Amino acid sequence: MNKFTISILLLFLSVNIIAQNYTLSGTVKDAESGETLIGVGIKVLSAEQTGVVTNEYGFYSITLPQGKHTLFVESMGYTTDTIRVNLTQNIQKEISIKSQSKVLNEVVVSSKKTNENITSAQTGLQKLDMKEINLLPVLFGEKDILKSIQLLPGIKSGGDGGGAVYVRGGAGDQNLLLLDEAPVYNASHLLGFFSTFNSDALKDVSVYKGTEPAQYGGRLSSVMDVRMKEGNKQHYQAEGSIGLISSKLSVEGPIVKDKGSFFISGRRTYADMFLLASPKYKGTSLYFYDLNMKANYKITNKDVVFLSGYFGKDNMALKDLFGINWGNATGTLRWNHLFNSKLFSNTSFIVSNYDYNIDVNFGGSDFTVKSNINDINLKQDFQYYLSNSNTLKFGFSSIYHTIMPGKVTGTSVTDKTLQNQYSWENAIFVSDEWKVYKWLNLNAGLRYSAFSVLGAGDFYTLDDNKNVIDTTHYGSRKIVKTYYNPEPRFNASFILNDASSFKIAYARNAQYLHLISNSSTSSPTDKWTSTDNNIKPETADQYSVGYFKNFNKDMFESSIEIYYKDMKNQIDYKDGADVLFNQQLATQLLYGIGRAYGMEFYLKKNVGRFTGWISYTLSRTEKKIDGINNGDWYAAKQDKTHDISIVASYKMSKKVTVSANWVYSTGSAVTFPSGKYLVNDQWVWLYTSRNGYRMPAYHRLDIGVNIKLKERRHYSSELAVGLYNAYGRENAYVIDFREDPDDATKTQAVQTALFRFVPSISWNFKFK
Amino acid sequence: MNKILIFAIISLVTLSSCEKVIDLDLNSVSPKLVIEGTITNTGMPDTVKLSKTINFQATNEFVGVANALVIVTDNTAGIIDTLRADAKPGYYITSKIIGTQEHQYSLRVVSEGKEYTAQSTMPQQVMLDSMYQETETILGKNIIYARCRYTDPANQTNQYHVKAYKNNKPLDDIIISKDTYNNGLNKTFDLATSDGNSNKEDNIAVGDTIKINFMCIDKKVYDYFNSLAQTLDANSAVLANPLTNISGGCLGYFSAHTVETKKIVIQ
Repeated sequence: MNKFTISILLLFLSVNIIAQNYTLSGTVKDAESGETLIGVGIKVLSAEQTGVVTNEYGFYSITLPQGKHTLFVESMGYTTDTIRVNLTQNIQKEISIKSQSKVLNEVVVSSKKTNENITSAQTGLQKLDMKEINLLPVLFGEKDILKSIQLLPGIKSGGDGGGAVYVRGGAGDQNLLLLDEAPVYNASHLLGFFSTFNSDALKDVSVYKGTEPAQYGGRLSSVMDVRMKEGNKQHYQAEGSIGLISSKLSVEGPIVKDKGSFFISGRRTYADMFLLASPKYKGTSLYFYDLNMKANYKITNKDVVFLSGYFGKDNMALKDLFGINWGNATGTLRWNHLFNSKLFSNTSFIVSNYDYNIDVNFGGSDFTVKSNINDINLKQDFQYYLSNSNTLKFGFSSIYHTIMPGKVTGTSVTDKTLQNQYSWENAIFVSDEWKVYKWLNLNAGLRYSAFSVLGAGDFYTLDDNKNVIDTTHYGSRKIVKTYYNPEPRFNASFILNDASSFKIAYARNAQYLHLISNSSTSSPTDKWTSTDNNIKPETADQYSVGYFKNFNKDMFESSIEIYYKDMKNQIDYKDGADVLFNQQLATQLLYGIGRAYGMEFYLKKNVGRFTGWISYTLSRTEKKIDGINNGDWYAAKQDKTHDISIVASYKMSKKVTVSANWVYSTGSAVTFPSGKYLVNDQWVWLYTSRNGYRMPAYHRLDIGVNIKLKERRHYSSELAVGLYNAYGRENAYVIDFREDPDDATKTQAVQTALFRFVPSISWNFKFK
Repeated sequence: MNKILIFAIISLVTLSSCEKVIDLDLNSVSPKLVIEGTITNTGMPDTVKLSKTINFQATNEFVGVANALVIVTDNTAGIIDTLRADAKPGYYITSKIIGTQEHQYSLRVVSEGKEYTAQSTMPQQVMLDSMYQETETILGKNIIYARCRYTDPANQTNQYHVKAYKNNKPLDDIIISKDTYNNGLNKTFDLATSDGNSNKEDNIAVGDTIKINFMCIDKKVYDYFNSLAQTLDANSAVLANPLTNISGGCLGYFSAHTVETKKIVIQ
């Protein structure tokens, strides 16, 4: 720690303090909506390479010598703005820039692309442009960022109907999904066909593939940082869509013009409404809804508060016979405060809850199962603009987790509650973004995390065969055990020229919560479980290098990244594990090491009539765990050797855009039987190794057309038509084995495929 | 139940889901020994079956293992029974042992130079309250359920296993229960239904005779059947051979259990 403190002090000392320098600071906004803009570049004409980028709240701070300066404000999809200032003192300046679509009504969008991807030190980062996502054809026409990011290199899909996302070989529970900083514990709707992220409510999405800056932590493989829209500060507007499966409506507007605004967006599916039209389905429900809400208010020139919330629920019920509902609720209260033109602070108070309830009242069974996970989190981030080339971020996060794994009540059961799990996850972090030389950018930091397992509860001591040999009871809030993990993060880019760079990164991540599932596909009843005296924190060390190159004046961007990830305390299940409602869960788990490595290729065309990208990932991910496959390395479920995505969109005319995407991936690793035998009067399967076989390869083509119907000053509308799995590939969802119904002396493998030729149509509108 | 609902929903949501038989290139594997030994309180001779596993593509055929030494001991009564080989290869039959509740039994098998051992205790018998049929209306369909019901005794830990037969053909569903969550309460088992079985061959109809063997099993045998059920569901988190209670490195189980047989004809 000591060495670390010294280096931080050195950083402070290295800043040149020149008396006649002044600071220009403020926020950059969209001229039309007043929405603050993230990642806008502000460059100084006189001093090449002097520039800053707005932070996640649109804030910038740039320090320049006394005198007159010309600055360029540029962002993709916006016209570059030129600003002249005469600095004789510190100035606070709000900058508004115009969206390009408002300015040019031309067929060819000649959006200026910055070379941020080359210069930024950050590696393993994928930014998603919400406008781009809106053009991609998707299942049932439900635009979904969680599905769209699976088209990017290094990010893999769990397949049809799988809510899971796998990043750089990581497992499905190793991704931190943040919605306005609140963790979303189960991002699946309708058993994983849709995600909880309603794209109409989103402003910005960043995906870090395990090399995230030090302010993030808690998961091994990735962070998906999703920010909700703030709402139009100038005037009221509404937009929405009516689709085959769901309808959406968003309303936004000023609370007090230029001071505060609100945004509300709701979405509900209505498949069940068609069902209810038939009397035989009376009392059946099958729907989900989402509600996103956000409000912000500028109290003073130095203080802005934001309140955001998300509520989502899925409900499925067969009359009163059987019902299951699940959902997330999150809330974030944030306070931006400007201590001075160089010190920006954000304080967040965050709550997040996920729960599920099952009701059964059928054939003599009458019971209810409840389970939930709840977080209360306080976070403090400081951003200190030491100089135009050096920004220091530091802060802390403190989370109190409460997990109620399960509670069963009812007349056909004796009421039982699995012991609640309490824990306290703390972290301090410091990181520095430093443009050392014109050719060298650094982003380095350290996160130091501590996780305390708390009582009340019984904690078990296990022997080598996972038998409980001792039980110790800890009282309420007594610390059972605390784990500490230093998590260094380091990113550097060596800028070869304006259009190419070489980057290296190293990051360590620790994860204290683990998802336990009793099925191979994601399910609402998958359970989060806390690290305890038996289940150790998972850790990963990731090393990566990458070469980034842009062509034709940044019209094309391309990259090759190679990563290697070394993982410890990886979890898998014992043979025959019983994890459903098991108080002594640790007796069913095995631990070992993991490794993942791969190469990611990415080529993207950003501008022109024709845009799109190709991404290809060649990778491997394996585990080595005593007790599984004789302690040899074996393929993890998500190991898919080849993964290709081709995404293209072509603007045919002012009104019509066609788009298509094609994906291909090697089948995931799976356990199939190698033999059979007769026992209990039936043929059962003989297994020889875990994940020793492969599912058939997955591939699919989706096509879509977007047609602008009306484009008026106060009203616009468009029609989106799509076809998912356009050539009807039967992709295997599951492969079952059974006795041949026509010949009892034979057994056979049966493949179930879910989606073929799924059409969609939706009508989108906007009033302002 | 969960599974039925999920399948109902998937089929509602996806008008295009489809099933087909596919060819998989599965490895062949050297045969492994399977032991299935049961000691019951029926008063009839009991059987220990020894067989070998076969390749997945092979014709379903019981490959009995002959020339083995099979000994069952009633540890409680002190009776040692060396089983006689039946005319059917791989079948070994008891002659001295009479299965008795709360007696502990040991199995010793010596085959091809290797020794396998196991223990199992026959639990106290719990009798069924009834076996009956009921009709439920789900999504507009009348579905017949064959059910049985028993009352779990509160003062002991119990495990149950029901094997059901339709017209003497064994049904595939593994029906088991333990009393962790319903100690001392009534419990109903769905034995078979006229719709919604994962294997359509197992659907029942009017006129079918449904027979069950209702068995009280010990804890280790419950763990065996619980893990066996998992291995038959391709959606399980872990697909691995079931947890056997026989040591020595073979497949199968040894169970001393009570049996009550009941049957109904679906009307």
